Amino acid sequence: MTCEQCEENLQAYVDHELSPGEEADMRSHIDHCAQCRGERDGLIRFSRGVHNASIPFQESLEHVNAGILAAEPAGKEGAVVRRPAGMFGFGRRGIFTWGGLVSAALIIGIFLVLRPHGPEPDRLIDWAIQHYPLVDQVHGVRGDAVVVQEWFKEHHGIVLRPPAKADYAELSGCKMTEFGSQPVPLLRFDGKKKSAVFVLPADFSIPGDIRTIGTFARKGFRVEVWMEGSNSYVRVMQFL
Amino acid sequence: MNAAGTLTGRSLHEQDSADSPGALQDPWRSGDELAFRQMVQRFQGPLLSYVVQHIRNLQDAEDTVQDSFLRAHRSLHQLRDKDKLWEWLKQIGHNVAMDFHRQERRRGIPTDPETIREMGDQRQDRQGDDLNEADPPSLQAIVDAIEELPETYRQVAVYRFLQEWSYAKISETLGLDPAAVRQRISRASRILRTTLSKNPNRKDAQP
Repeated sequence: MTCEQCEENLQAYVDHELSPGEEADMRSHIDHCAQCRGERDGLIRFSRGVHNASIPFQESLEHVNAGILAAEPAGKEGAVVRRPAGMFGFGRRGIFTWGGLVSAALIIGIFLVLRPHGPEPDRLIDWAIQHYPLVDQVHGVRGDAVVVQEWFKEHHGIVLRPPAKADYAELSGCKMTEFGSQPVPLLRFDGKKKSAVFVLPADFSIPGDIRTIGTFARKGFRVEVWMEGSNSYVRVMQFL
Repeated sequence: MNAAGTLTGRSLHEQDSADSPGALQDPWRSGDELAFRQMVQRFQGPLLSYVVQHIRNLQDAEDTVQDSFLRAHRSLHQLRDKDKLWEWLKQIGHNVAMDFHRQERRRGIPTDPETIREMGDQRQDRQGDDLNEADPPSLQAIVDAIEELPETYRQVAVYRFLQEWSYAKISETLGLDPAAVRQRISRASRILRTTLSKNPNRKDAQP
């Protein structure tokens, strides 16, 4: 292998995107070539820096997804879900948000007093059928996160918690593929068993080639996961 | 629509040309919500990267991208040439960004990209002495450098360096030969390194 060939493949080498044979050739060349070794080390530093810098970009894309998916489907104009301007709403426009915060606090206060209690699983079925005609069987709950958690704890003795990074890889033993470059969020029952609250069609079975086509998580306030297998797709969960 | 390849731009494109015009023009109403989601998946990264050029604040840029997609969804019927979907999306993104600037100006907040860029450059100038080769590049600097790449490399660079997609996924999404993807990433990487090594934090990012 020449240095020129090495240079051409160096990025793929650092990205672990070469075949085992190509990788072995590269390694062999780099081991004997100080110049290419230096190039490799520089590229690794560069890639690490780019990786670190790209994290906020990827987080922004998650927020973009959240806002789009939160908009009502079926052509209705959806309200865009805005990411908070910063901690406690402080930011470049923070000063303008205080009026909104006070109003929101009042609305939330009224809501807390007047809201119906309980996760209302029966109403979730109506909601799911209304919004997603393909869905004719529902296993799920929808409601205030705290109320849902309490309901599950009381009726099933299990504690739900918001999704964590470690939860993303598996769902009920089913390997979830990536959504863009984002992991798949889900709720997990405490303990070893991983599961989630499903909204599934009656004849739906999780196939081997299942892939996620949409998902978002906003700190446990709302989670929806879309999945697709064979020719069907399914809304899995809504958790408000 | 089968499971395989539904996220790919190629399958979206194929679907565009194969289906009746109305199918893509209003995918949600036609029951094909997936087509819209695919469009979002394919273009959200490139659109965010593009919009950050106009709105140099990631948080505001993501709102703008979100608005752009929702606006695109509402006006899909206005898209005449589906081969120009990306150009059309960019135009919408640009328009939404300009709306954002107008709103901010009414609030008395300087939003002109050049003004903000200058502010960033001034900050950078003050920090210039502290910079050295080991300084990691800022996100804004990376985005700026990517947007300056030749068109051939731009989307590939967004997918790889900002979204960290695998080579296979990029190849599938763009309908490109894997060898071509590898080559484009390699060349884009080389250009980016050269550009960023001159000043890794130029046009200072606004977190």
